Amino acid sequence: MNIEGYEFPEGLYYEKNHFWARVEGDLVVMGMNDYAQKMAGDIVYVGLPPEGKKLTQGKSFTKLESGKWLGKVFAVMSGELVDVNEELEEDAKLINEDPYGKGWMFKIKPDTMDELKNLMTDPAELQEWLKKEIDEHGKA
Amino acid sequence: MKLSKLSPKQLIEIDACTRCGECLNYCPVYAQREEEDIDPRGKIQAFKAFIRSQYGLWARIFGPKKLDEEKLKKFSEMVYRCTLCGECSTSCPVSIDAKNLWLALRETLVEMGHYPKAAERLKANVLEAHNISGDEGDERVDWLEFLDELPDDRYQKERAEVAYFVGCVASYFPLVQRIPQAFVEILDKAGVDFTLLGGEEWCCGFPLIGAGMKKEAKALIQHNVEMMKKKGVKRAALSSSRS
Repeated sequence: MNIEGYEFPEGLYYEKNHFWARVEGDLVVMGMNDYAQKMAGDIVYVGLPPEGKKLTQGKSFTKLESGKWLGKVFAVMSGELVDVNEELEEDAKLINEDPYGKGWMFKIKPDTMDELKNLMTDPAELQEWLKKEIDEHGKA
Repeated sequence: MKLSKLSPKQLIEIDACTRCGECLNYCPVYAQREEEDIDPRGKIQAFKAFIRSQYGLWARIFGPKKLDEEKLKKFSEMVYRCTLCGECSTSCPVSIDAKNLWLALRETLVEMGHYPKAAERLKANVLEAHNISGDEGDERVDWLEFLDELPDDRYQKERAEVAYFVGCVASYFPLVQRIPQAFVEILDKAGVDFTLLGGEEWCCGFPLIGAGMKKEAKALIQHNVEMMKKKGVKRAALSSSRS
């Protein structure tokens, strides 16, 4: 779906720090949403923590940098970091080019899938939330 | 306009500029804009004109002229656009230490209230959060989490001979965090008795000095020195480029 000019594919879960989650078997893949990647501009680096790191939903666990911005990456689920997108090491701009595809960032083995209910999926809720974000931070 | 932020040497240097234009070949800001007002020679001439209007012969006889606010605004913009790379200092045929001159001019402009609003935000950030990015102090050593092996003391000892002062950029910006990650491993392998200051490391103060706010930077510098003394540090290794 397109909200205010930004792509938010259906079937994904979204959290309020601008990261998305997709369930793949017993893992959850996460990345950055279209609005955030456009606001950040060209992303130049993502810190890729070692696999095995324990994550807590809503807590930051690494950072990413664009030309003029330094941002935190927040865990979409609590659990164990089991995979990182190694391609971002060489080409972090994949997040800009394909935020929901080749620009995926991390795979998490969640402690429980119950935490998915804390994330947004409803288009009306997403639209209302994004409008507020745009009012506060502007549009890219 | 007071000249108290400039040393007698700097006042002589302003007068010593021969306007040869050698600095134009090296100034990266001039290379982009090619405006005389922005290059070192232009800035020195502009400041000389301000001094003359306040302290020259006519000013002594008839009193100082009111400073032209528009000219002052333009001058401030030019002084703050400088990247402080220092190429003008190294290329000057008469050895004018221009880089330190720009810092003194920024201090003068701050005293006069003619400085960018962004500098106020920078000051608030650095004085409140003690780092340039406004992050939490205890996140300063988050880069340690990326190391394959980490000792129990997390390289933060009560006492050590050497303090490794990481600096804000290397601490908080992931693109640069490989520097401290590699450096602690080198120090460890070399058997150096070293410690990090961890969350007690504060900004080195250079962003404030660079903004013309040297006075405000002193508290940061004193804090870092005190922390090192507390740990019995005799030497410091720095990866904060401006420290």
